[in-house]
Amino acid sequence: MAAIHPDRSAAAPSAGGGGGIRRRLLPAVRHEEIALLGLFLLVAAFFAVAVPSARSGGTYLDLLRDAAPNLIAAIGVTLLLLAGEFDLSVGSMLAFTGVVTVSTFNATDSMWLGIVAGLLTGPLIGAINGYLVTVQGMNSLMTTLGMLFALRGLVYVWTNQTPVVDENGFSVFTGFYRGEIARIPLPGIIALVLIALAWLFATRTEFGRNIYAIGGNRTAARVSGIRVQRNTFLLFVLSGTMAAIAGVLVASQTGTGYFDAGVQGFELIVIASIVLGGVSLSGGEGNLLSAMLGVLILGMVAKGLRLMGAHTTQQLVVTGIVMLLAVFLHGVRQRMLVESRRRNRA
Amino acid sequence: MPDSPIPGEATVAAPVLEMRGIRKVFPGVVALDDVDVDVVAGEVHALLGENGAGKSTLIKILAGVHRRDGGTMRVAGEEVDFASPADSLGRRIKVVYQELDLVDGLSVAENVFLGGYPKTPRGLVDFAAMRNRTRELLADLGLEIDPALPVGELRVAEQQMVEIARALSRQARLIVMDEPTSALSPAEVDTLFGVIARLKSRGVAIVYVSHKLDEIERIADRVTVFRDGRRVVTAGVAETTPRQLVAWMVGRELHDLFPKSAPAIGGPLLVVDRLSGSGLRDVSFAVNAGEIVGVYGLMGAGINTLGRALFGAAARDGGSVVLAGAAIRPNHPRDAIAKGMGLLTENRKQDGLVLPLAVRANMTLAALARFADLSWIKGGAETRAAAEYVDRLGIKTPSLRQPVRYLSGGNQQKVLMARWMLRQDSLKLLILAEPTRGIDVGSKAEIYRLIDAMAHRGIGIVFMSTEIPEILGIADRILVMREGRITAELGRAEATQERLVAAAATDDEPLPAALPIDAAS
Amino acid sequence: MGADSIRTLDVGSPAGRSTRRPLAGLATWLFRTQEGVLLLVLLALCVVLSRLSPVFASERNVFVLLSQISLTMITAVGMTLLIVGREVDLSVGSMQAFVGVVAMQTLNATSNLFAGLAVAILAGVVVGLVNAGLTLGLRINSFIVTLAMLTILRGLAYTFTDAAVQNAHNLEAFRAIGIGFIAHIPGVGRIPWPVVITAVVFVAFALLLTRTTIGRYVYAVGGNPRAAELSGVSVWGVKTFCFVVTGVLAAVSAFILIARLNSGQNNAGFGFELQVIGAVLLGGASLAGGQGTLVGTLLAVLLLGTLNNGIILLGIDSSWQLAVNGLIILVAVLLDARRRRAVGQE
Repeated sequence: MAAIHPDRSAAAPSAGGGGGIRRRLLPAVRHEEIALLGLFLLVAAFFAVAVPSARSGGTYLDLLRDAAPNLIAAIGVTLLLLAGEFDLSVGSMLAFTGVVTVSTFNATDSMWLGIVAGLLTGPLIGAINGYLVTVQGMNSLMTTLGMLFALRGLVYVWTNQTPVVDENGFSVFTGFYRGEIARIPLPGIIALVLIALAWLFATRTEFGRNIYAIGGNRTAARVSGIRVQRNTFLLFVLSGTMAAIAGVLVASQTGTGYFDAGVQGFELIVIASIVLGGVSLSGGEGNLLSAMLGVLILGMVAKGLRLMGAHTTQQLVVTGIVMLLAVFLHGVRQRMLVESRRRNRA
Repeated sequence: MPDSPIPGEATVAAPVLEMRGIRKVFPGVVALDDVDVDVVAGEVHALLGENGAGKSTLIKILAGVHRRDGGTMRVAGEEVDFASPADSLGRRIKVVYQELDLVDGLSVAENVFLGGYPKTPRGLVDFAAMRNRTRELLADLGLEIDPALPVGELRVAEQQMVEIARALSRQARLIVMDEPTSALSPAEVDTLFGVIARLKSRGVAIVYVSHKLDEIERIADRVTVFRDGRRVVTAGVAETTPRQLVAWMVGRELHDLFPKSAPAIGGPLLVVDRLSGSGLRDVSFAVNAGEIVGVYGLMGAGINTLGRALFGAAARDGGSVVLAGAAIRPNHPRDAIAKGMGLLTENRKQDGLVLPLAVRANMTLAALARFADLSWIKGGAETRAAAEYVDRLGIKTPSLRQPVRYLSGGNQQKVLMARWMLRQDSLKLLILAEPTRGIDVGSKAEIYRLIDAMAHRGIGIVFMSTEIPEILGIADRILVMREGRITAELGRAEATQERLVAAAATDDEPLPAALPIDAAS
Repeated sequence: MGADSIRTLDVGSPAGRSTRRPLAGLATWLFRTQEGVLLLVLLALCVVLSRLSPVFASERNVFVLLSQISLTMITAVGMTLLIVGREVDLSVGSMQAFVGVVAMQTLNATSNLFAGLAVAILAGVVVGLVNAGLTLGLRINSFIVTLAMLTILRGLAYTFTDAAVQNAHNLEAFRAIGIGFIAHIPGVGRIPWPVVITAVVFVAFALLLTRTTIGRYVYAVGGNPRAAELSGVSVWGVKTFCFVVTGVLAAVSAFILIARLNSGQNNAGFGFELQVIGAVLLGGASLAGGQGTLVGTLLAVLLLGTLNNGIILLGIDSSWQLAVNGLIILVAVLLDARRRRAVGQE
């Protein structure tokens, strides 16, 4: 029956049948993070049983280090996906920033200048993407696909397809990757701090909340006076910035700017992880923490398989299957939710 | 003009809105011509008219969606010109559309304050304040909805209330409601009317768009009647009668609009026995060859679902459908088509048209096999057939290759009718769900004529509509539905507006104010 | 509401009106359609290149160019069908490796050309069916399904061989498919096998798409699946057909690739999927479905191929190819966005 009874506010908000109970249960079902955390623990437990070496705490700290570039890049891509836009250029960005950073080292003999130069490429490329998509009205998938090729090509031209090695051998730079604070790897700390900031941004600021409105119902957002274009532009800049941070981290691994960093489908893996984390490709649905859990799950699968002595090859196969399974289960859960809502309404 | 305008009773206060000489032209149609409307604080001003009469266009101009081609518009005495919805909102005008502008994934509170969230001193969103203020706003309306629930989990009626709360959060002085009751249950309608009364008492002006006379009788102070893009009259509701409103609204003798010829009804064609599923309950009826059976019901009564279920496009879990002796498989549209059924749903764009495809390809989609040898399309035959039907149905298109997207609503509907007519001999029964929805009056008459002509060729027609006049005008027999059941079956001679209304109204609600009109008069 | 406002916009702009009246048909086609614009750019490019390089217009170079684009074109034919039908296949790149190694292994085992080809095509059919089954049966977005398939097939190719399966027999007919010539036609020249195969595939599917009921149904299903279903078209059937065609054509191109390389390499086709999709979209197809032509795809593939050919002929570092491809995609999408805005399409 009707849920709204004017002037009968004393009655339960949703009278009749199990509607009230279901409504109270729904938030629990709805929380994607919990389901994904469960999945992560399941994967971790599997490997802990299967491989003795996976039982040490060090494994998980290593995981944090290995997954840091993916986590960081995924922050920006997630926020864009939530706003209903794609960024495929992050894989090429990884190589581009790395090469810019190390080349600047060699040209100026200054580490900080190099890092700043590398980090600045991010917002710059992001701004170009954002300009083309928002001002010129270009499709973001195609635009960033073009940017993927253009950037990768520029890197090839620039480096002649050879890695750019840091001639000064800045140990502080490689220290970023190797270093740890209280046994926690530095890249992991950077990733966690960025995730925390991004989470705060997405959940507590008006801009962050507006992302959901833009991705969920663009008309509603525009009609409510949200500056859709400007916000989308800024998200592209943010995504570029995150990709640049990831790129600098990858370069600091060995103090080398790799022309082929991320060439094996980094952008696709990032998007797959995010989708695994329950973020909808059509925008407006999902949350940042779940997306990050998605990245960690795929990272854990890869790590565990490596510990088991599996080849990259089998890793790829298993990763693909896990991806399909997770997305399928997400779809099933979603349909169950819709179904329960419908029953709730009837 | 049947009468000179009756001066409104509420003209003492300064008008919140004054529209003078508004004109709007769409391709081939003058949607609005020299329309005047004014609305004062604390009144409910109804806009009444048939589909296509111009009321939707008027509110879209008011909302900043369309730009007017002529006339002036004043809000609280100031001349305005809205280039975007934001401009309209900035003048504290809020339009609540049938398709609500809400973000499903966000909470009730976030939707209410979308575009202007309350902040803490540190610049973060103040969720606690937002929830509290939302609760207050809703409580002011006499409602209790949890502000933390995602809007997607609310009922439509509740979502509508969120939109109204949103209007209040922005201190709206004018709220426009576009057919707000079309998806509501009678109890929910009562709630809405209660809210409207409260808004009124606070001095908010309401523009209430509807074509339901009983609702206007209940809540409106004044009414402006539209017909064919013109304002017919503005009158105090208390000073008019429903009979007069209908006369103004329809404005012509019904048989002008409905070229009903003597039917040539043949033997039984479709036999539906205890059909159920998708909310339908034990629906049984029959249609004869050459007969037009009208199905009338309020929105949500299941008339459109019935059409889909017959065709196999909506789940059917009981009963049988037999067409010309052959049982139609449930949930299998292709079987229905193969056995001679055709369906035009009430939603042209979603279920019918392939917008990027050409007019020709859209017309021949269901009959393509006719023009093909072993899947190879004989282009000449296809083009000739399409051209013949463009001619026959008077479809206005610059070429057969024109993407159907660019045609007007009426012409698009004719393309879809041609899609089934092109199946020629194999088409035995055509189901039409609200085929004149959103179509201008001129095209409506042509579509009625087409339907009549098809019936004359022996095709059985099931004609679903929520509009009483057209059902009365075109059907040989009328079924009335309520809550998924058939509640009355009336022959053409015995059907009257009041009988249809009575059979369609729910039990648990008193009948709306009597409408002593025989629409055929 | 949206549709209405589009309609008004459309009429307001004179550009919108001119496309609706087929006045000067050719001029309109040239300047207002994606195919026309591509043709103009391609012609201009050819004129410039033949001025700059005497070799460009030579018979030999033209056939080299056509041979080079054959792999992309064959796969792009399938991808066009699929994208017109509102689905996408990212697994075609990994297919190059997977089908390649499997087919080469079969050839080595049987020394029978037809056995190898049969296995390749069978693999294509199976991958197409799996993609279709997962997309349609489990209702997962084809972007994700085929992304998982991309990962899985690459992994399987790696599992199959550490690097490459070498040609262990010496079937002349097999090598001919990659690098041989079908005949010498006086006045035209020696025509390479890959070009003939590409031409046959193109013509067959161009006819299928424009002249047969199945082709018409592909457009209808892509343009509006619900409407197609309610008009008696089997959406499942049509989409499955498109997936299988894409799988088979990707397999055909993989077969030509191994014949050309004389080995089945496990790293073949990295990034191939994005190149193919980029070309199809450049050719005027839309990921929203229902739009696109094979002529457009052909022109886009030709344009990109000619550009790469020109880069080599002019002695420019071949590293530029990727960058220029990216820029071309960006420019094409930009032009398309402007054209759409002029016509008033969203």
